[in-house]
Amino acid sequence: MPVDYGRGLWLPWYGRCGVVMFRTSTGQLRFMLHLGSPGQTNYDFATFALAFSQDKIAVLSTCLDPGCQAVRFYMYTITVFPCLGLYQVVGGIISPVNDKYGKKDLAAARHRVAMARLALQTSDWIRVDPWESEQAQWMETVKVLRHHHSQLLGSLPQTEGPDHGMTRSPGPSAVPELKLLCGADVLKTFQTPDLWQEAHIQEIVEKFGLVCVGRAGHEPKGYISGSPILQRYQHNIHLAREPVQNDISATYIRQALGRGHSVKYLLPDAVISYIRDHNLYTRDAS
Amino acid sequence: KGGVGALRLDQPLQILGMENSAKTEVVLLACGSFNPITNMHLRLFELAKDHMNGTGKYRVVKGIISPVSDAYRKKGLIAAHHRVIMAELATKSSTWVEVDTWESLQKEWTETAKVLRHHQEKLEASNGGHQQDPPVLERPGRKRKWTEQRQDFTQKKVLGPKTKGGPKVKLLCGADLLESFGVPNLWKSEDIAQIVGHYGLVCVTRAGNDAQKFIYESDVLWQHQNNIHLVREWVTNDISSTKVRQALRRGLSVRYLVPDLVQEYIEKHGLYSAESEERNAGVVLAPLRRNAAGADA
Repeated sequence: MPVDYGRGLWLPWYGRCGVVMFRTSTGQLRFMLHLGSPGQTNYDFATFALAFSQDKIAVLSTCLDPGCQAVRFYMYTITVFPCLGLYQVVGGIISPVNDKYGKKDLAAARHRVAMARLALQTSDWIRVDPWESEQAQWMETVKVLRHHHSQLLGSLPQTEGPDHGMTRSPGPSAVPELKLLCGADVLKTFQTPDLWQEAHIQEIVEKFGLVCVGRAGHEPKGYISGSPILQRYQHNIHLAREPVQNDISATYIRQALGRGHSVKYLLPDAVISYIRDHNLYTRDAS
Repeated sequence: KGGVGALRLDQPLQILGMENSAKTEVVLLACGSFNPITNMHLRLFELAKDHMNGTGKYRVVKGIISPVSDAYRKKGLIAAHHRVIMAELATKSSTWVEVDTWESLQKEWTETAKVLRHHQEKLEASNGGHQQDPPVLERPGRKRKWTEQRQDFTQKKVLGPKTKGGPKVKLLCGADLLESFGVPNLWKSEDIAQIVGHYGLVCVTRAGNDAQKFIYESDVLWQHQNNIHLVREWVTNDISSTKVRQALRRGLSVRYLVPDLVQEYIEKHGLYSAESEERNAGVVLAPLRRNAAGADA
């Protein structure tokens, strides 16, 4: 029974791998590695037990040699970040959609950007980027991802230093990975005909990656298994567990505002004041 | 169409003996551990206020958060002064909700009905000429006899049409408190009767049908259903203090689950760890101990 999917892990020589955690019938925790990076057609699997000691994982593996002829045992000590050796999130970007998207009840982009800025005043790692909203046309999500990825590349220092002792390529490069963060409802929309281009979906999950937060009434694992592309790159789709179910939607907020009801504690106070000062989301506004 | 604030036709009609134009002023009192206070607690006040004001019969004038005293002995309950400060930080930006420390300062755990009575008396004392007959003063620690409580009700004077007798305190709660009425020895039956009969309940719930069924299945609740206001919460907002504490123990972020000031306070003082969760482990909850023992406290 899989317990968790798609944890990233970096191993010497193999580079980036995916880890699947599962529980055996006797209740023991086991891990399965997807060796190699996405895009490779051959995956080697190795089942092994992990021993934990603070932030170091000892990996005892039965076979880590691709196409191995004989069973070998390898011991690795890998230093991992707290949370089982995965990614370290270094930033968050909120990219409000362009007005030309044409969604019902969409307030002007300058307002939505301003409100997001106010909401993020107290955050030290998430920021708003108005680039998408400032373009002349609506643009596909994959293009926004490409833009921000090239921005990240462009902002790196020119000289590349050694990679923390892990010299063999494909080692972790200095460029942070850019992943699309979305709710499970967006994952579901991949199924909607003509809403997404297939090539774009592939590029998103193959080249970038998806972090999907659960939402009531949605079964993200079901959406993944129901789509060949998503299944193929499921190691690059990270399902974030939401321990607290929180169904607050912008739709509900707009509805409450239209009826003169309080939305305090659902939105930051600064955003509520902005909405009031600019007369947004009143019943006559749409 | 439903929705918070809409007058629901399936609610029992209230027959008003007094002039309809005068609204009853309401003070919403929330008792609880607030361990810690979360955005969900704060939402209860906002939802309840919109609902009660929306009926056209009430005007909510104040909200009171009354954190329970340490003597409640609930597992994982941290020191009252921290919980009070966090509640104060949380309500700093509120124009109508405030924190009251009376209950938290009592040496012994205080029944909710007593807390309601304390606040009702306090309101009437500060209300000047709109007083009803002051209730019988009781010696501390003495449980009021049921006959005395009944006398209070019959002694209530009928006041003039314009005044509705000053603000009335009502207990604000979630469905979990309503359903806890069924837990053996947790509540005294006369307290339940007083809470729903004399004061009134404003219960915010997602599962309205379950709550209505629970009311139907209880004689005392059914008898006073006019005094139980069910407020529908249409979006799931499951931020429980238990889950917040769990997230904190696991080093996970609780941003946007609790107000920023509360999150900073928790971080600054290192509240909520595996150790703090073990406080009162194995200790019997105060009401269970008191009610199982029976007799006067």
